[in-house]
Amino acid sequence: MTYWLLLKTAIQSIRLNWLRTLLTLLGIVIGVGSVIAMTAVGQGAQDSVVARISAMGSNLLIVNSSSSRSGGVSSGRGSSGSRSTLSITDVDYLRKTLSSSSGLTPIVNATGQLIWGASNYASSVNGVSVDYMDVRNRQIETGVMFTEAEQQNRATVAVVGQTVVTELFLGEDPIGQQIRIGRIPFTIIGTLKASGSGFGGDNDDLVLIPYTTAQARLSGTQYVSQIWIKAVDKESMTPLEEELIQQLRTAHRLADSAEDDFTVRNQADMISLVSESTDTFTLLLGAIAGISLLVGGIGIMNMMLVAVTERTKEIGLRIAVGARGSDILLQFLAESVLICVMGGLLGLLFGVGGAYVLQHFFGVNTSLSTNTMIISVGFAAFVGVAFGLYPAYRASKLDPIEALRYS
Amino acid sequence: MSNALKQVAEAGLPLLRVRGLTKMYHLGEDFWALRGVDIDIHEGELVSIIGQSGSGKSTLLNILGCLDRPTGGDYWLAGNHINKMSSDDLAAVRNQVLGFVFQSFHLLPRLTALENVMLPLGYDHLRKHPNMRDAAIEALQRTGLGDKLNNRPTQMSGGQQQRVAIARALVNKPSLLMADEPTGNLDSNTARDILNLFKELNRQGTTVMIITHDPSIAANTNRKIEVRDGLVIGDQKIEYPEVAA
Repeated sequence: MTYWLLLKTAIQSIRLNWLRTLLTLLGIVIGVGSVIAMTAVGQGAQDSVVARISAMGSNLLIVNSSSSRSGGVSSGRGSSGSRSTLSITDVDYLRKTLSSSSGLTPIVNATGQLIWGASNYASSVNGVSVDYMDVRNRQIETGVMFTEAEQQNRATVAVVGQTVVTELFLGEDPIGQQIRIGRIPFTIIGTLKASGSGFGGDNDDLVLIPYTTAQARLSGTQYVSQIWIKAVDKESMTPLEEELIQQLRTAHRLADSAEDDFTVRNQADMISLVSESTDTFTLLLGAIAGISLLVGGIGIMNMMLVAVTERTKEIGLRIAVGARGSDILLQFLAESVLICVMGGLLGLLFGVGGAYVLQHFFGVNTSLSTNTMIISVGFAAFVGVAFGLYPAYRASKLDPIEALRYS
Repeated sequence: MSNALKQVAEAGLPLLRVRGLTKMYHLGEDFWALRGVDIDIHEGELVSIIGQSGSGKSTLLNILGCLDRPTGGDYWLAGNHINKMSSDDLAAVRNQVLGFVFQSFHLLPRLTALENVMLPLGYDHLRKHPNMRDAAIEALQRTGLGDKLNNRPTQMSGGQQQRVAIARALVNKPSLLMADEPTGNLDSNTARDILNLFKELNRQGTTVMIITHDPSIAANTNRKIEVRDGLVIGDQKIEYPEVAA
């Protein structure tokens, strides 16, 4: 039998019982559809987390004070968690000694109430260096960033994010306005381009002031919360990280046996860590959906067994007019594969549609993958072969004499 | 099998020859349905095989029709040594050398007359049929149904259905047409028409074998082979067969 004839015969048989076929097909449709939609949700979650991490800048190393690696009794939670070990001295030392970084900024946290006329708003005030803009990949919207000179002079100037513009200045142009942070007056010299929400909340709800100013006028200590360092490129991240650890240990005069009293986080590591966990999540979603595809396959097998019984006479006749066992086998196999592929393609439609609906009406970030589509439709075809094989085999082994007599 | 099947016997040999054909069934104890049958049928004959139910004629038909294998003996059909062949080869014999006509027609209800007749051509693994449709139309015209090509079996009378079935048996240009009680489900007028059709096909050169329990049908053929208790008990030429009018 030619393939065309095989397909034609399969279509004829399916049309004969289209309602039953359609209902059985639903199992495959739901299976393939949910595999595609679920993995799209998983992949979408991963993409958005990775995008947030990437939005922080690129090729970043983040130094936190106090080591989170030092477990056990000796360091104790209370002391290691609260004691700040990074200081302005470290920042200056790293600036001088690091050979290859393309930018470095401390972050001195100084939350404070912002007051402008009668309006006031609590935002996060960050003492940073001029490099901040480059390191964190931020741009100025209006006005200017403070200069190296202003940083050295501990100038009381501030750059604000868009959330602050809306909340404190109620949308008015803030450039040149005087505000108070706590009791210290500052002049607004610029605003940041919006960057949306990201890791750790709203990226636009912040005020940038020179770290020198923050340290002298607001926090009053030598300590900094974090140091962000940008590597020149991806390849230089690992050597830079090693150098950084070495220099900080020297600066902190740590003995060889002592553990680091700081943590360095690598942006690439963060991304792969997040990707790994969301990959597992995606796989889990896909596997659960895949099980429904298997259940659909059992439905197909059930239907094909019924079809073989119903068409016993037909099988007998076909054998009598010269069909080989293999012809009969292929005919039934073609039928179950065709049903499964049709189900797979319908499922594809539903999966893509489902992902679209989730994205546009429920705000779930989804990301469709061509690979998943090909694999899940292919798997549906495989289910057709796997679950169609036994009924088809039974059909091919029928005794034509018995089959022709069957009523 | 790589070569096409033989369609005709070698010169001087009969189209169909069985020698010492036996068939045993295990039904609690051994039961011999056929106990040594010898038959020769030559090209161009119109033969009837007659026997009561339980005589072994159905078993004989199944073996001659290559749907079943004998327990012992030899069977040659159109130069092919049938009992030495694989099941795929037997399928090819059924497809190319034999044409079957059944008592209950066995048409596929969802197919049109034309599609039913085309069915065997699809299973021909050895020969190409570039124009299956034309071959089927020709066969239907031979059985007088040239104007019912697209009717489905449910839209046709019993006689018309049997004509479709005969066209299906003819479409591969078989060497031997085997009909199992072909008129058993038909009224007497229609039965006579079908018998006349077989006679006409025989006049045109097709070898025809009719299996029946009905002596009046056998009386329409040129030769009557009688089977009882698994043996051939009579083989009689009919010089002046009845003319069904």
